Parts: sequence; C-alpha cells; structure tokens
Amino acid sequence: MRVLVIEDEKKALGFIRKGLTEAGYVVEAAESASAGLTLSANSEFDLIVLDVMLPDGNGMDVARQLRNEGFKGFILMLTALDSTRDKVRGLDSGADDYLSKPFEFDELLARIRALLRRKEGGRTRLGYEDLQMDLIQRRVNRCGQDITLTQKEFSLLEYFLRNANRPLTRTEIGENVWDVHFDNESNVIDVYVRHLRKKIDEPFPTRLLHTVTGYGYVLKRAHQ
Amino acid sequence: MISLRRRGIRSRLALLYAGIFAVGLSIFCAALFHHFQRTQIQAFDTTLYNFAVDISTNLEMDFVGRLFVVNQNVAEAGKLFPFHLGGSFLEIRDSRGRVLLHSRSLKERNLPLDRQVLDRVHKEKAIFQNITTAQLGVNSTSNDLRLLTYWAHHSDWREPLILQIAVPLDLPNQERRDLLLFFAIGIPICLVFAAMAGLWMSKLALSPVHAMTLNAREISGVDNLKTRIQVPEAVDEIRELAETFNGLLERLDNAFTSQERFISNASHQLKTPLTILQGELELLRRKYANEPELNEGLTSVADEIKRLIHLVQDLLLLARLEAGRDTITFERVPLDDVLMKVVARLQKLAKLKNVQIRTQLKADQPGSELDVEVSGDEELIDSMFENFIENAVKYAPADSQVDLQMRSSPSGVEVRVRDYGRGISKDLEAQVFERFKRGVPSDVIPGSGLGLSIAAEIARLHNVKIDLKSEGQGLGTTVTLRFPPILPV
Repeated sequence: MRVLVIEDEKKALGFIRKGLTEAGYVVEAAESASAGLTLSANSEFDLIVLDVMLPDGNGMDVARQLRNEGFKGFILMLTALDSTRDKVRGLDSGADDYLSKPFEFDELLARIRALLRRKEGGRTRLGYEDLQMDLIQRRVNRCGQDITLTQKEFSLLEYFLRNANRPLTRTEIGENVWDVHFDNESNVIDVYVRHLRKKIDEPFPTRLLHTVTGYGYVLKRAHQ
Repeated sequence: MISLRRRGIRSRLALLYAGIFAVGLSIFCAALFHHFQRTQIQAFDTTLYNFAVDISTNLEMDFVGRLFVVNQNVAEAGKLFPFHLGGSFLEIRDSRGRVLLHSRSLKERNLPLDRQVLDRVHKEKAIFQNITTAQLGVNSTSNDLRLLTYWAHHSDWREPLILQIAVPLDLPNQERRDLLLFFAIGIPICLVFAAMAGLWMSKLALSPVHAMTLNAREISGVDNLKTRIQVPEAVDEIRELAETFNGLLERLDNAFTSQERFISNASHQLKTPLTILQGELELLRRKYANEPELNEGLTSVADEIKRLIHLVQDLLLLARLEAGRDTITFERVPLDDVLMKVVARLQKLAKLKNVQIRTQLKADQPGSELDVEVSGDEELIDSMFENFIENAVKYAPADSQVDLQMRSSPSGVEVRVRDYGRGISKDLEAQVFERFKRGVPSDVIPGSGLGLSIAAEIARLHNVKIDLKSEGQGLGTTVTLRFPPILPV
C-alpha cells in the first residue's frame, strides 16, 4: 500500500510518516501542495493524506486538482476546522473521508483501513431472493419496487444482506451498524428492525427478516 | 395619545394630515361664512333702502300735512317688491316721531323708535336695526326682522317724514342655513378624502422604506452578508437610511469575517501543536509499551494533552457560538443517529467505570419512533448531547447505569438523560450552566466546567428547552431536552 502524506507541519508530517510506516504502509511525504501534486503525478498512490492548510494553497483545491488529473485512489483530509460546513466543503471537493485535528493515531489508522477495505470489498450490488441493493446509488428494491430507506436503515439492511442466512446477535448488529455495544435494555435495534420490516417485508407476500428468540435476527427465506 | 402612538406611522401620518386639513378647512369656512354674512346683509340693506326710497317717492302730502299714496300698487310702476309683503310692516311718522299711519299688519302695535334713533335719523338718513317679532308682539314669516328707519323728505313736502319698514329676514336666514348645511356635509366628506389621501401619501412616502425592509430581510445568515441594499439615486432621507444600513452591514460582515478568521487561525495554531504532541506520544507509548514506568508517565502526559485538547475544542466552539445564530447552518438532522454516534464515542469512558448506557427509542404514537428529525447543526447538537451524556457518565457511580430515552411526539422530540449519581444540590441547580462552574473539583471528576454552558448555549440557539431535575441527594439527575417540532417547509 502506497500512501502520500501532504502536510506542511514538519513535526506532524514526521509522526504521521513514522506511525504509518510502523503500520506497514509505504509512505512518501510532501511539504507543500505543489510538491504533493508533482509526486502524485509521477507515481501511483492508493491513498493521499492531505492537510487542508498548506503554505501554497488550500487542501480542497489540491483535492479538486487531483481528481481532475484522474487520481483514482482515496483522499483523506486532515484539518483543524471542524464545523459541518467545513466538512461538507472538504468532501465536496473530492475527499473520501475527513479527520479533524487533533486526532488519535488509532483513529487515523482505522479510517485508512476502512477506506482501503472499501476498495477490497469490491461489490457494488448485494441481493437476496427478490431483494436488490445498489451500494453506489444507495437504492433498494424488492420485486422491482423501489424502497426508500434512511441512511441507518440502509446500513442495517446492508449488514443483513452481507450475512444472509446467518443468525446475527444483537451485539454483532450493534457493533457493526452503530459501533455501539447495546445492552439488553436498549431497544434501538428492535425499533430499527421493526421499521425495516415494515418497509421491506410487510408490503410483500414472503417475509425475509426473522426473529431468533433469545438470540437476535436473521435474514433468510421464510420456510427453511 | 398612547393608542395613537401604537397605531403605526402610516395611520399617524394620515391622521395628522387630516387634522391639519380639518383645522385649515375650518378656518377657511369660518372666514367664508363671516364674509358671506356681511355681504349678504349689505345687499339686503341696500334692497331695503331702495324699497324705502321707492315708497317715499310714491308718497304725497298736501299742505295741511295729509298723506296720500299716489300709486297704491308699487309693483305696477315697474318695481318688484323684493320682500314678502305679507310679513312686512310699514309705519310713517312725522319728523318728531308721532305715528301718522301704518300698515294693517301691525294692528295696534307700532314699530319701535327710540329717542336715540330719532335724534340720529335726520343726520344719518337711514338707520338699520335688528328686531324680533316677539319684541313687536306680532306674527311674521320669520322671527327676525330687519328694521329700517328712513328720513324721507321731498322739496314739495311741508315737513320731512320718518318712514319705518320692517321686513322678515327669512330669506337670508335660509341662505345662511343652506350654507351651514353645505359646510356640515362638505367638510366631513373633504376630511374623509383628506384622510384617504394622507394614507395613500404616507404609503407612497414609506414605500421605499418598505422596499428596503424586504431587501434587508433577504440578508440573513453569514453567506448573505456580502449583499448590500440598493442605494437610491435621489439624495434624500431614504438614501441616507440605505447608506447607514449598508455601513452597518459592512461592519457586521467585517466582524463576522474577522471572527471566522480568528476561529480558523486559532484552530490551526492551537490544534497543530496538540496534534503533534498527541501523535508523537502515541508512537512513543507503543514503542515503550513494555517499560511500565516510562509508559505510566507517558499515559499521564497523554491524559493531560487530551484534557487540553478538550478545553481548546470547547473554547473554539464557544467562540463560534458567540458569533450567534446567523453563523449556524440549519439542516435536517436525524437525532437518533447523532445520539448513537455520541454513545459510540462515550462507550470507552463508560466501560472504564463499568457504567451501562441504556438507550430506548419511544414514541407517543406507535411506529413513529424514528420520526426524530430536527432542524439544526449536527456538529452542535452532537456536542450538546456529548456534554450532557459525558456528564452523566462522569457523575454516575461505578457499576451503575445511564439511561437515555428519545421520545418522538407530535409536539417535538424529547431526549432524556438520567444518571444514578450524586445528584445536584438545589443551590447548584441554577448555576450549572455558568462557565467554569463545577460541582466537584476537577481532580475528582475531570472537566473544564465549560461543557454545560456550551450545551446551554447550543440549546438556546436551537430553541431546545432544558429541564434539569435532581431526583434527590444521591438519587441522580435527569436532564430533559425538548426539541421544537420541525416546521413543514
């Protein structure tokens, strides 16, 4: 994995490089926007870690230029600004993820892993029986009928589809979909499953989402 | 006066205009009426005088002083009587005032002739007086009579005579009444028109101000602060207002820009060294993970850095909040997502004390548990939740729970955070939202004391009602956040 770090603060650059190298990435570094653009034009990178404030330009402009030049890898933006507006601007300019300073190094590594996993995951469509999910356009349909889901409902269904036929515990669902370890008295998962059922099961003749008493839920064919 | 003041500038201007118009019109009408009355009475007197002269020319006197009316019917001589003869009275006296003869209509009465008039009449020839029928004791068509005492003398008469004619004033009175009636009807109509014209004129005069208001209303939010109000070409008060307003906008814009620049610079300058410190420390801790003494020191430093980071973030957030409501972008935010993100972040902290965070989604109407969208800034709401929940976790005793409940109802979303900690004493309850106010020294429970004041400010900006209730000493605290319902667009 080749990673390019564009960051003008020498010391920040130093520890990011050190940490990423330790984690097993091949790291190149650039201290300015122009140096970064030159490097990325001359060799291939899987990921660019990009600081928003650079001495010779704005990180968002760099991201835009990288995309214009056909850069296909991931861009992770680092910034000291953390209002929603700044994040939206960053993502709109072509970044794939956004991390605000100061950050914990573990989080940076986790985000990079998540980005690279996206690439490895590779599948853009998921399906089970007559239920289809398009991960790019974020659309779901069953029997050719479009179903509108909220973001979280979509994530939950995606998790069920990726683990079809396998009973999933509440703990698994909570940790994978919400990143939260729900205890027994929380009803968040149940509420979501109920809403998801209303949308993907109730209007159709066969049910796909089933309760596994005392365990959790499973996505499977009705009579099995 | 107070009610007039409340009435708004347009109606006030119109009223003022109508008032001025009413005063002017009244003075004018009064003057007109006075002038009319004078000329009318003059014309009447002239006619009466001519009548007297006509009558006197038709009188003849023989040498012993007997009188003859030469032509009984004066009208036949080409003269028209200008007065209603039935109600007129005629009396002829000699030069010493003795009555010689009078018209039948007077019956036994005489027209009044006092000493003073008798003395003056031979010099002045004609004296006009107003008398009433009541004074005379006879009836006529009008109660008011005009009396002319005329000194008649012909060269062929033996002595001069005094001719007295009294005629009713019904025609002039009628004319005056007509004029007054005309005024009584005309003036209010004019005033209504004037008030309407005043209203219209004030509307016309204020229309540029109204246009400017509409213009200014469009300028809201930071992104719009660069726009300016159109300055009219004519140099007048409206232009002055527009220029003043634009100057104000300019200053506001500058203030916002410099505020934003400050926050952005401060963020960069404060956060970069902290990022480096934190990053380097983490790498060091990994490297020396199996040297307990060094690791302990590094962990302590890392904790302090985390505290510093928290404080810097709080201060920057506070600076952003100070800039006010206009700097916040309101969007639809799914509250349960935000709540879960905060829970995910705080799990680690809770785990350290073995505190369970229990989350319940509820709804007044079954099936609407997920209708929890509100209008707001996700970042800020996130921060508000974090502050309250982090607080609850911090103050919760070890091995206890923190209960979170999100309830959706038609009147808005309600988020409840309940801990089973020490609770808040009554006297502290009112102060918890003050800056740097803490219930417990920070070496017992870490924190800057800014958290709740930030949360309160965010709540204020989002019209969220905070209800803080201690369940009693040692029984914990319940914080209820009530979000207003989202308005249909």
